[in-house]
Amino acid sequence: MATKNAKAVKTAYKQLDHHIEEILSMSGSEVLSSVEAWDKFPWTREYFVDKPKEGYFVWIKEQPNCSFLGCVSLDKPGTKQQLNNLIVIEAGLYVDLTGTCESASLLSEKVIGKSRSHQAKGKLLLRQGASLYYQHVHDWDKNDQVSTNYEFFLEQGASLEYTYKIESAARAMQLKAQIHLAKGARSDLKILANCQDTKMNLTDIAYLNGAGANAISTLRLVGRKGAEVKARSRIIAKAAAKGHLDCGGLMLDKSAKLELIPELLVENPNAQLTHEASIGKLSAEQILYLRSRGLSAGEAEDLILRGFLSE
Amino acid sequence: MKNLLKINNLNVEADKKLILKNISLSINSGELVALMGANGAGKSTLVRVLLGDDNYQVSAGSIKFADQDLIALKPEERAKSGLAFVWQQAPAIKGVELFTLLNLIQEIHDGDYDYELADSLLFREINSNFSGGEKKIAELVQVLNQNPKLLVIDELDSGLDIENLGKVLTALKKELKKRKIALLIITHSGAVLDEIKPDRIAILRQGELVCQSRDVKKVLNTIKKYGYQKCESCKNCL
Repeated sequence: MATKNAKAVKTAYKQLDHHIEEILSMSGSEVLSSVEAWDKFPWTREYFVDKPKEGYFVWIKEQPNCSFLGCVSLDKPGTKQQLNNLIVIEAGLYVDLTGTCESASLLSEKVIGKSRSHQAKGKLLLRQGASLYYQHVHDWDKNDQVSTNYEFFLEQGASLEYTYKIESAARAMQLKAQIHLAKGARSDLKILANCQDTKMNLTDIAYLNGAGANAISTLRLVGRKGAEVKARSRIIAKAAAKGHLDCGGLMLDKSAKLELIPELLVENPNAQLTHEASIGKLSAEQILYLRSRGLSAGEAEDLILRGFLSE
Repeated sequence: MKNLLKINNLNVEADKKLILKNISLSINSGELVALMGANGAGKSTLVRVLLGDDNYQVSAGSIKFADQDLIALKPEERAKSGLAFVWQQAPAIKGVELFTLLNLIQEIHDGDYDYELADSLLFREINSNFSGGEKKIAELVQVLNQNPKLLVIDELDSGLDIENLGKVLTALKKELKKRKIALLIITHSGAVLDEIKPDRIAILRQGELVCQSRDVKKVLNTIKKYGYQKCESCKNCL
């Protein structure tokens, strides 16, 4: 049942293969294809990585009273998306965004020669004091290929809560997220990846450029059958700021290979960076504990996994 | 009275080493039994065997619980047949709130015990940064929602301060009586036994059950005066 304070959810952008299926028209915001934005707002050319061929531009200019949803899907065999996205949130606004990138259909192994790929690069600008709560979900077919490269720019006092969840991995994934934090800006990045039959390369970097900035990066990897994952999580402190890395891997199959590389780089003596990292298997003691409460072995493992991925 | 739990000539090994030797112990429905023994006597091993921990192998003997062959049951089947455990060192389950687990337990066992006792713990990660006392409170609320026929408690008082011990004991005694739950309690504390007032006491020494008696006070006095060693040579209680 909807509560009194529940915000409406509006679809801002929906793309299937190369076709835009839905785009939002709402006062206080501009949602356009990146191609249109490049022509209509020349100032955006400073931010687009290069001249876009496809992708979305979202510019939130006034406080919205709704949450936004974006969805980009792969369907036809042979589709190769090359998205170039830009999101701009003006000063002091709070925005709640859910983005899904997914395979709309299964790619039969018979058409592997016509493999699909999703390549996305983009920038997200949070002006002074703006806040973004962003849940980004990836759900791919095991035969697809995915490469994403996003950069977040947080101006003074801006805050970002970004959860990047890979529910189902593509066979090859290259993922990079970089966060630049100005004075007093805060970021809370969570990467939660369920990895099976995939070769995945993850990189996240937080740049603490301004005094009083604070970045927390949490990485949770679940290594299942055929997973080969290399994850590099890095914080670079250029100012008197704070950062913490928390990297955890859970091995569920002997064929999985997980590599976690936490890196702290300090260029200011007043910065405080910390990290913790661990890779292990499911605890037999935890499983027995839950089974002694009446959960089956499978239910116990699922609950522990759910907890691990929600930490 | 009918035996709810019947352990018969049980031998238990771990890493090919005999740990429990020829243990025979019965507990009737609603009966309260205390199990005592020095450190390393095998008390916790017996609990792990009842739990179904496969690090321990039963090499001889049998265990019947509610007319079923307990050894053949999986840990969750044991729980569903009415066997519940208050763990001595309950592990943390990161990222899962106690409330989530309690709801699952209630669903599985059709439990309806109020969560109030664990009110301040409900939305915290299970056993993560819980004090010793908080762990025991969380354990008790879980097991009372399992609708147990037999409750096995391994060291109720470890980590509990006097105030929380009183709280836990009050709730425990009330439910044991109300629901006629049988109890096997492992403890070193005479104070806990004063409150629980067990019907019987059993003493484990070096993997063997050396004493079973209904004269709990006498056994406790003997242990206090002469130590567990005396139980081995004293035939008065058996």
